[in-house]
Amino acid sequence: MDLGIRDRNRINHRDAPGVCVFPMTTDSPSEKRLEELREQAWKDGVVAGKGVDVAGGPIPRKPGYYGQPVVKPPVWTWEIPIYFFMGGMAGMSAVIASGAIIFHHVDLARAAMWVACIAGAILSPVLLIMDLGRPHLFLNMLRVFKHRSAMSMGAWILSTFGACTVPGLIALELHANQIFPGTLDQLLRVVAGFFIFGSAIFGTLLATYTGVLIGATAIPAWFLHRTLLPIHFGTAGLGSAAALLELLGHRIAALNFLGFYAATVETALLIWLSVDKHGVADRAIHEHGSGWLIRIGEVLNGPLSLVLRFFGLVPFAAISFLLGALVSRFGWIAVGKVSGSDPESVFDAERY
Amino acid sequence: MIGEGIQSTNQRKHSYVRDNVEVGFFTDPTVCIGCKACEVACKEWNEVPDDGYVWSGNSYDNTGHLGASTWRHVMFLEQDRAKGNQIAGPMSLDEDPFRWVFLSDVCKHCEEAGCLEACPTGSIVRTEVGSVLVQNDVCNGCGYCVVSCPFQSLPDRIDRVWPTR
Repeated sequence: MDLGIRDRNRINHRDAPGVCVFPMTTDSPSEKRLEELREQAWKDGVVAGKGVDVAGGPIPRKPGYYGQPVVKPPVWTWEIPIYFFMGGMAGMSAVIASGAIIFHHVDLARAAMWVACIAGAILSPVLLIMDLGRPHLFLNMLRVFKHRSAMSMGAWILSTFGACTVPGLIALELHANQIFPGTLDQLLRVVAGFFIFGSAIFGTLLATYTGVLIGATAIPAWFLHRTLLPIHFGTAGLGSAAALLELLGHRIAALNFLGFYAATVETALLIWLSVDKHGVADRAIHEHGSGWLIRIGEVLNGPLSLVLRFFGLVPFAAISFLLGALVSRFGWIAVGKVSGSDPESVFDAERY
Repeated sequence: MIGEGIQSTNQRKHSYVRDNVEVGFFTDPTVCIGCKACEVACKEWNEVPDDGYVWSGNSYDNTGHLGASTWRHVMFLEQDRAKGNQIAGPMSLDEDPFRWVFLSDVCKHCEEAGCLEACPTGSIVRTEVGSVLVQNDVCNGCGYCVVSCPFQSLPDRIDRVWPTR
C-alpha cells in the first residue's frame, strides 16, 4: 500500500517488497491482536502462542532486520528482458551476416542485416530509453567512458553497433541492387564488408555484455552465476538469430547447424544450472516460482528445440527456441527481484 | 578517462584520496538511545522530503531502510538478554527480558564504491572531501547503482517525479 503523497515536488515512494505498511488505525488486525495479547498478559502473566516471538520482543522475528531486504532489488521493468532478447538476437544476427558475406550468401546477409538493424539499432535503444527514469536524459550515457562499468560499456557497444549496422545495411542494399555501376559498386562492396565485420565484432559484445551487466551486481542469484550468464545470453542470442532467419525462409544447412549448436549448449547450461546450486544463497532460482520461468525457458530452447530439430520440424524448433530465449530472460530479471528482496540469501551469499 | 571511480585522474588529484586520508563516521551503539534526532537533523539540514507518514509495524522503526528520502536511518535491533524469555505483564525493574541496540546507519562512502563504478552517466562522483555524491541533475535513472550497492544505500530509482534542483 502506497501512502506517499503524489505531487511533483515529492519523491514517489515505493515500498520495498516484504515491508508491511499499514495506516495507523485502531481496528487494524495487528492492533487487535496486540490488544488481545495485552489482556492475556494482564490475566495470566505469561503469553504463549501464535503471534508472539517468545524468545524476544513482541514482534515475530524474521531473518535479518525484520525481514527487510539487505540489498535493493532491481527496479527494471518489462523493457529490460525484451531488450536483452532483442539485443542478443540483433548482435548475433550481425555475426551470421558476416559469415554469409564470407560465403557469398548475399540474400542471407541482407536478411540478417535487416534483423540486426531493426532489432539492434531501432528497437533496442527505444526499449532502453523507455526504461530510464528520466528518458530525456538518455544522452548522458555517452558523456563518460568507464571500462569498469558494464552499463557504460553497454551504452557504447550499443551505439557503436548501431553506427556500424545502419551504414553496413545501406551499403549492402545499394551493392545488392546494383544501383551504382562499376568501381563505385566495388567500393560499396568493400564498405559493406567493413561495416558488417565491425557490427559482427560489436554484435558479439552486445549479445554477451548483458550477462556481465547483471552478473556484476550485489544480487546473489545473479553474481553467483556470473560465468553462466554471458554464455547463456550469447548462445540464446545466436540461436534466436538463426531461428528467426529460418522462419524468414532461409532454410540452409548452416543455420540448421547453428540451431543444433545453440540448442545443445543451452541443454548443457540447463544441466549446469541445476547442478550448480548454492543452497540458500541462490534459492530464488531453485525454489521460488520465478526460477520456473528460467527452467521453462531453458527447456524450450534447450532439449525441446534440440528434439524438434532432430526430427526435422525446423519451424517448430525455431519458434520453441525464440520463446525459450524470451521467457528465460524474463525469468532472470524476476529471479533477481526475488533474490534481492531475500535477506537470508544475501547473508548466505557472503560465503561465496 | 573521465569518471572511472578511484582510478581516474580527477579522483587522484583530490588531497583526501591522494594522501589516503581515511574519513569515517563513528557511531557508538552502546551509548545511542534511539532518539532519531540525527535522522531528523539530517532531513532538516539537507532539505530531504518526508518518507510518507506510514507505520512499518517493525519495532519503533518506521523508516525501514536507506533511500532517496532517507540519508540517515536508525535501526532498532531487538536482542535477547542472555537468558531471555520474554515475561509479559507486570515486571520489576531488575528483570529486563530483552534489550535494544540502536544503530545509526548512513551511506558508507566506500573507497571502491560499487555505485560510483557502476554509474554509466558519471552522475555519481567522489567529492573533494572523499565522499560519494549523486548529482541529481545528471542522473538519468537507469537504476544500475541500485543493484550495485551492497548496503542498499541508493534510492530506489530517480523517477520521473523527482524534482530537478
